[in-house]
Amino acid sequence: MREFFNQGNSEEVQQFLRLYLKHQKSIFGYIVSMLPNWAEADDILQETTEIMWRKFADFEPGTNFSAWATKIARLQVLRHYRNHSTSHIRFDSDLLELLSEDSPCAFDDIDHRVLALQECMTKLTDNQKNLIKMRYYQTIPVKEMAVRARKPAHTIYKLLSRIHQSLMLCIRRRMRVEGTL
Amino acid sequence: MIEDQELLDRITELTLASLDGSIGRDEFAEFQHELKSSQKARFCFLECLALCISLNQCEEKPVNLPFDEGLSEIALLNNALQSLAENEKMAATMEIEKPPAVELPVGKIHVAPQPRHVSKFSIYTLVLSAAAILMVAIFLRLNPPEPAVAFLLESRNAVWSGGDIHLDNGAGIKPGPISLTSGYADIVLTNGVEVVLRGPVTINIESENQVFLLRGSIFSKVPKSVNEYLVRTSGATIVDYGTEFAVEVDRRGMTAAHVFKGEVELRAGPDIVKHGPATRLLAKQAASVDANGRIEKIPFSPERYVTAIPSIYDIDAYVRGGDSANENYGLEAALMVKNDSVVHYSRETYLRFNYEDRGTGPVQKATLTLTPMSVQKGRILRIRLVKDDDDIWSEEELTWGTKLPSSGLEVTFSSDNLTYHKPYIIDVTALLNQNINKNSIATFHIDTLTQSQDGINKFASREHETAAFRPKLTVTFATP
Repeated sequence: MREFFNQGNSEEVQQFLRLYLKHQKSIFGYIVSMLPNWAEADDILQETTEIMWRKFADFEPGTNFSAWATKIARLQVLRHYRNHSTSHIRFDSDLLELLSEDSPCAFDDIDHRVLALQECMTKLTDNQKNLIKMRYYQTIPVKEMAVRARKPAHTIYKLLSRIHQSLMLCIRRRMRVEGTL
Repeated sequence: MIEDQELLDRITELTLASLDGSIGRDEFAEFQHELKSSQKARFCFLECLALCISLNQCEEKPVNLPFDEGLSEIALLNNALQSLAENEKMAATMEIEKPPAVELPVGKIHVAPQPRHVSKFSIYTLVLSAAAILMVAIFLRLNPPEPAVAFLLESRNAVWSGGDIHLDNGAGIKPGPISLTSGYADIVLTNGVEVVLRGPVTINIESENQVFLLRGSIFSKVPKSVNEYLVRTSGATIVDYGTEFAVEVDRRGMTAAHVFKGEVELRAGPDIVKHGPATRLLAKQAASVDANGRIEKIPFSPERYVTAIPSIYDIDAYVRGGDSANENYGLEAALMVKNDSVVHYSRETYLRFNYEDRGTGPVQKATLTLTPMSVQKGRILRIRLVKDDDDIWSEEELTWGTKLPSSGLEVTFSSDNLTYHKPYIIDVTALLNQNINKNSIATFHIDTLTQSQDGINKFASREHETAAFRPKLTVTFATP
């Protein structure tokens, strides 16, 4: 990332970084909502960031940075779809349309979600906390967890799914109480 | 609501698998189909993504925590490995000097032969120890420790037989009988079959692909990857052909099978090999087997069975009679109470609170706080509880037509004591300590005993924009 910043003056770089870091999570959320796969979404975020920086001169200060960024991200995802047509992880255009209607604001409040999540994590049982820690903090793939636990992968997914459901419910309740939802 | 929960569970599961890249082609097609057909599914998908991104942001250090047999080992192993790795990273590098080469003296050592004294006691001890080790080895060979064939995925208000048996979520379950007196449990067999129980029910898990149902009902969800799964009862055997189905044994010992998806074969008799007449049941079909082995088609009744553990969280709604008897007012910002001689204008309110995570045992003090949004003086308002069995309701579905009966003790208060926008606290301790409320979930029903055609008493609901005005239940337990 440092390499392509060589082209700009430091004030421009600072301005870009300030806006980018503020919106990075929601841009990534938008990408991953169109292409739900960590590895591929990471690649696209990187490509999108490069293009955003190259086109930053076109961005009008004071206008909606997030909207500008997601337009670029959308084009990058569609380009990725075209270049990787054999992958089965691809939504059709009807679903992309529906999701783009639902998702523009879905990731705007992610900072509030992180705060609520920290509170909600304390409400999990020790077993549940451990599974989340293994998956997200130690980044152990589910397949690996399944092998080590001598349980089928879909069983681990079911367990994780239940934990995610209870966290989602808890976050929603907290944000509603705090008036951030 | 139950179906909704099932859909949301599945969407979450598919989202996680897709993010990891471990989702199959068929599963992804199912994922896409569900997302296209339901806005709830799309919201769940987006919310799940937001959660996963948030989880990646949380930088909490892993700590040693107890876990079940299989996974505790992993957690401990990982933590140990991680701390070792971190120690290695932190340690300063240092060069170790090579020691100078020294020529070692070589000599012969002569040891004089010593007479060996062995006491009789030592010999007896040795023989007894050897015999004991041999006995243990034979015992273990003949009775090897049985591995868990299932584990408890989730439970709600579960009371296991005898009251002293307690299974934590995630606990392994070995072959043998288990009895759930009340509440719900979701068990996953190691082959991936999910079995949902609602008490009272007794099953004997015979193996990872075979369950014997002694009484009550169970719902089984069988993944396509499972080739063999069957449920036996004292009078029948139900062989699965990739499906979702419920089996029930009633008090007379009659077995009923209801097929939700796919296909099963219902056979008379519990013997897997030698059985009586058999019939194939397709989706939305049901049949029963009586004590004489007679099979009879019966109406498919999905509403009789739970297919997933219901989620119970705080909700509220009011209902209105007459022409509005089928209308739902669960998402309104106000809760209303009125008793009008014309039923169309009458309104009653329901509030549900789940306080199971706040403690157990008798309640020492409980207060319900309501904030009036509109006050009509001169009315007597009444609060009663809904029985535990009726606590599972949806605020988006409740109507006057489906309103829940309340009973038992009542708490009354006069609207003369209410003030607009001033929270009013009502002592509901006695209501919570009744026998009809044993599940730590309280559904309050508020109506008014005073009939009047003028005005409505209104209270802020959970949907009210001012958080401080929303209904609140405070509970303290006698033994914290």
